[in-house]
Formats: sequence, C-alpha cells, structure tokens
Amino acid sequence: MLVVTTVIGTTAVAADDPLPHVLDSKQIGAGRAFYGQYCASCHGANGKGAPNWREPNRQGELPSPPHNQEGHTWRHSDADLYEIISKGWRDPFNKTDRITMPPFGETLAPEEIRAVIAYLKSLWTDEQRRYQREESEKEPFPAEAKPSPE
Amino acid sequence: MISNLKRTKRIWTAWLPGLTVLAIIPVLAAAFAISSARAADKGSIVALAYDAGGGALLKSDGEAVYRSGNNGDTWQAIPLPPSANGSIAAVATPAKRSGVVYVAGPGLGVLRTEDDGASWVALNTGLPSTKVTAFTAHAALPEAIYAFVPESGIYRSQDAGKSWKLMDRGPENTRQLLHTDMKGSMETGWLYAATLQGARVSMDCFCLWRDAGELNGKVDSLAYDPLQPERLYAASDQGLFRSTNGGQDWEQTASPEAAVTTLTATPSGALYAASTDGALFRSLDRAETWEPIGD
Repeated sequence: MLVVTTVIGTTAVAADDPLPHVLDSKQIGAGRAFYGQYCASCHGANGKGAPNWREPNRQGELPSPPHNQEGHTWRHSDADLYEIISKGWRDPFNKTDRITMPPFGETLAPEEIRAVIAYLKSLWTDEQRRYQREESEKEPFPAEAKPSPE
Repeated sequence: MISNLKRTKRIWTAWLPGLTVLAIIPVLAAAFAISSARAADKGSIVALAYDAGGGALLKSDGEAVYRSGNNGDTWQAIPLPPSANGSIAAVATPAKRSGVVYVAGPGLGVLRTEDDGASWVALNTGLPSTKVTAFTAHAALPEAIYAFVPESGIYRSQDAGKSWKLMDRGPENTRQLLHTDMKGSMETGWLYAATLQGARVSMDCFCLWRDAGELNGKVDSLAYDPLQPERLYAASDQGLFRSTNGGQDWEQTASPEAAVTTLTATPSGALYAASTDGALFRSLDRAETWEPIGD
C-alpha cells in the first residue's frame, strides 16, 4: 500500500485572497456537538481518524479516515460531503456485508449535516479550504440543504 | 516508413509553443496519410487506444500515431509536429468526442489533434515540464484528462488541457494511467496506475491509493470493459490477467504473446493487445481466445 502524500493544487492564489469561508463559530459549535455524538466513535475525537486508516484489513474494509488536515475530506465538494453523510457510502472494495459509511439522513436534519460539515472545515488548513471551495463552486450544497430565507 | 514520416513532418509543419494551433496542413497531411497506409507494421507498439465516436483503432510505436478504421487492415499516419522532440508514451481519446486524439510522452508533454494531425495544440501550460510519462482521459467527462509527471505527480485538467492542477504525488514508478467509471466512487470514477510494483487504484478524488489486488511485479498496461467497468485486464511480466471486481482479485487468462505491451478495449467489449514485436491481436470473448489482426 502506497502512502498518500497530500499535495495542494497549484492553482495560483493571491496572497491577499480572503479566507474562502467565513466560518460561523455558532454553526461550528453545533457541528462539533453533532460530530461528537454521531461521528467521533468511528472517526475519532477532533477528526483524528482511526489508526492505520490507509491500510485496508483482510476483508478490504478501510478504517475510518481522519477529517482533519491529515485526511482527504477537504478534497470533496459540499455536494459530495452532504451526500456521503446523508446517504452513506459503500466502498466496492469492501468484501463484507457491512456498509463502509452509514447514512445519517434519517438521523440528522439538513441544517445539522451542514453544521457537521462546517465543523469539519474548521479542521482544515486555509489552502485546503480554498481547494474545497473551488470544488464546491461546481458542486454546491443541494437545495434541500440550503437554509431557508429568514 | 517511420523515418520518411519524420522527414516529411520536418518539411511540412511548423511548431509554435503553448496553446497555439501548431500547423494547419490538411491537404498535405491527408495525402501523406493515404500514402502511409500500412505504415509502422512491425515496430514495437507502445500504446493503443480506441476512438469510440469514430470507430477507429489507434496505435503508436513511440514515434508516431496511426489510425485504422478497418480493424487493422490498413493504417493512416497521424503525423506529429516536426519539432515534437520526444517520444509517445500514451494515446487517449476523450469520452463523447469523435476524432479527438491526445498523445503524451517525455519531451512532448500533452498534445491534442482534432484533424488527424493536420494541426496540433500543445497543452503544457501549467505542467512543470514536458516529461509526461503517463496519461489518460476520463471515462465519461470529455474535458477531464490526467497527466503524470514523475518528479511532481498527477495533474488533472478539467478544461481539456487549458489549465492543470497538481492533485497528488501518485504511485511511484507509474507506467500507465487508466480512468474508469466503475460505480462506487465518492467522486466521478476511479484512477488505476500500472506500476513496476503491481497495480494501484484510487477514487478520482485522489483520496487514497491502494493496491488493486495482488498483481506482483511490473504491470505494463491496464484496460477496462466499458460495458462492465468492474472488468479489468492487466498485462504484466507474469502474463495477462483479468478481474471481474475492479481489480480486487485477478485470474490469469490466455495471452496472445509472451510479452504484451499495451491493451485497450472498445465500447462493445472487444479487447485489443499489442506485443513487443508489433503484432496486434483482438479478443471478442474477454481474453479467452485471440485472433491476429492486420498484416
């Protein structure tokens, strides 16, 4: 198994480019609470992930990856992150009957899933947030996840 | 014939770097292509590709590209620009576009033609060098292409080569890249790498490279069946292998020659293989049996 080396894209970013996301501390706080309740048992406290998460076991199951800057969550657009959390995901290389990532669409409301994602974004570097913003420009949150106008 | 091709290219075309149409010589190129039918019959074939829209098989001996619309009976040369100072490592065609051909290789970088070599566009702005040793096109998105530059990693373009973004270091000793639209990716598909140490696979989010099964030793080429993307083929120094589950498990299957250098599959599931002596073979039964094609 080859170890992944994280490399940020080379798209030029101006030095005075503002942070790609103005992180909402209230939303992050809510997301941290939901994360602790539903996600941390697999993905670890503070998004640190399971040990040896790059190594599938003998049945092809991948340990839960970290969500912090060491992982790859930042590579996914808002649309993809929302879908993975709400619908779950099964790795085709998983030879067991167990699902790889269980769905939380029946457990968490859309705004709660968004809060979890906001918390995950708070764990990334600025460059990772910029990359993820670019990916999300083409694939934003689905309409169901967008906050209703006040 | 190949040396004649080189001389002809030097005379007829002019090289302009960057995103520039390099030369437009449709009449001369067409005449040359006709005259060079049956060219490159028995050189070592280093790359195969299939233009699904045009129904044509493409092959390269490392110095030129040839197109056949009649299953290898005759070949028409697709001449490279005369100043193209390098060798071809990969040939690829984009999804949903007929007549578009990419070539890539050390010294060439990435080049594209849409008129059988009458003109070329260099697509190297944003790449660190022209030392591209592996290249593939996305299985479904026509604007997405991938280039491997060994000293840096894998670059992705989502605008047909106008711009590039470094995505990942990529597996060491990558020899060939392959994109498939097998289901189950968190993004849009899967990238496979044929390497000196087996095959590797990652979702095209570049989240994690892992072993694609237990192929040991050098893997020269990978291909997949568009009808059933879980079906993969691998040409290695151990023989020809087939997988029906995306590369998790492999079984050895019939090989037309001891040393298959490159593979490609068509949308109908036909599999083509080329050997070091330039011979071409086709299998219509998923690598159970092979028939020679062309001369």
